[in-house]
Amino acid sequence: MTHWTTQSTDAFVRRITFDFWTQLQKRMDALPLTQLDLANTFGVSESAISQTLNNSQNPRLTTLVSYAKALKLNVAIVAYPDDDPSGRPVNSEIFTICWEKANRPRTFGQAGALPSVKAASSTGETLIIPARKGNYYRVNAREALTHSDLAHGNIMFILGAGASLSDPVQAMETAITQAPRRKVA
Amino acid sequence: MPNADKFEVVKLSELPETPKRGLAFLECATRKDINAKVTFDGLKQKTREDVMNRFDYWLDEGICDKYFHGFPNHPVYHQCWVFKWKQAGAYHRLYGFLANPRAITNKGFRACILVSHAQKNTANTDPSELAHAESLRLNIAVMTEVRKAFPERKQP
Repeated sequence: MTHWTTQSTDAFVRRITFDFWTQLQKRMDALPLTQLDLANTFGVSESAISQTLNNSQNPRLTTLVSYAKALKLNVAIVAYPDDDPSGRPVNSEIFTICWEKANRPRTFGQAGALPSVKAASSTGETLIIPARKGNYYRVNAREALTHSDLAHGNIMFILGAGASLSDPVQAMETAITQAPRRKVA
Repeated sequence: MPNADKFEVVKLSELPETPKRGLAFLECATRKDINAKVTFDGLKQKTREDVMNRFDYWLDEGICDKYFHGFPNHPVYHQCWVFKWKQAGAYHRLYGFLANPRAITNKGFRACILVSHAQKNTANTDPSELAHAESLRLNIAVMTEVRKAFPERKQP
């Protein structure tokens, strides 16, 4: 079965635009910021804001960026290899969650220093993965390897007290040294 | 009294299920109150894709009450479900229920079975729509079809 977004480029664009606007809507709820606030920021009517936020038909990139910036969000356009046979796109929010969980690496060096669960699991070692709020996950990689849907979080972990988040690599190293000597169940 | 209605649970081929979630429509040729699929099929392309985006978001295990939600705190209708969208000032709802058709091989799997469509002028939920969905959820013939559409996984 192939996903509906594989039927046309327009359909795919509508899906990724929907995902993007959903991220912004959730941000508005979290701040909180209303459509009227945005209307005042951009000097347009509230209905114009509503129309834009509900328009998933190929909006201009400059529109997407200006709305994100107004909500104090940054934007990246991400291309990624995907061998999912159905062609279902990965929701942009999932990339954001992963980036947050990786302690927001900003350089190739920081990103490259992050442990790869998939690669490390073959060695059977225990991984320490930085998480939000100074916590970290201690992952039994052997166990992770046995779970088929690793991507869905079915890995065994312990959430522990953590380290400074100023430097993800340093945070990870500190987390490793501070890791509790508890056996992963 | 025997159940004369013949139910069918129809999955959308362009909306593949995920490891934890699947979505389908309930159809019944003799019941006009079961109209979610008819309504969905009649949507214009853009609206249809807007609704598909909401389906996708749920299948991806996303949470957004603006697009869909259950009624987990309701004493009776806690297995009911609704997808929502707004079009030309009118509130549209697709009501249905959640089922756990793979209780043996995939306990965490949830199927959302959509039953009926409602269009209204207020955002509030109509309890009669939930009662309708709940009555179908409790219908043995319906649940048999749900299990057929989402059969247990073969053990390796």
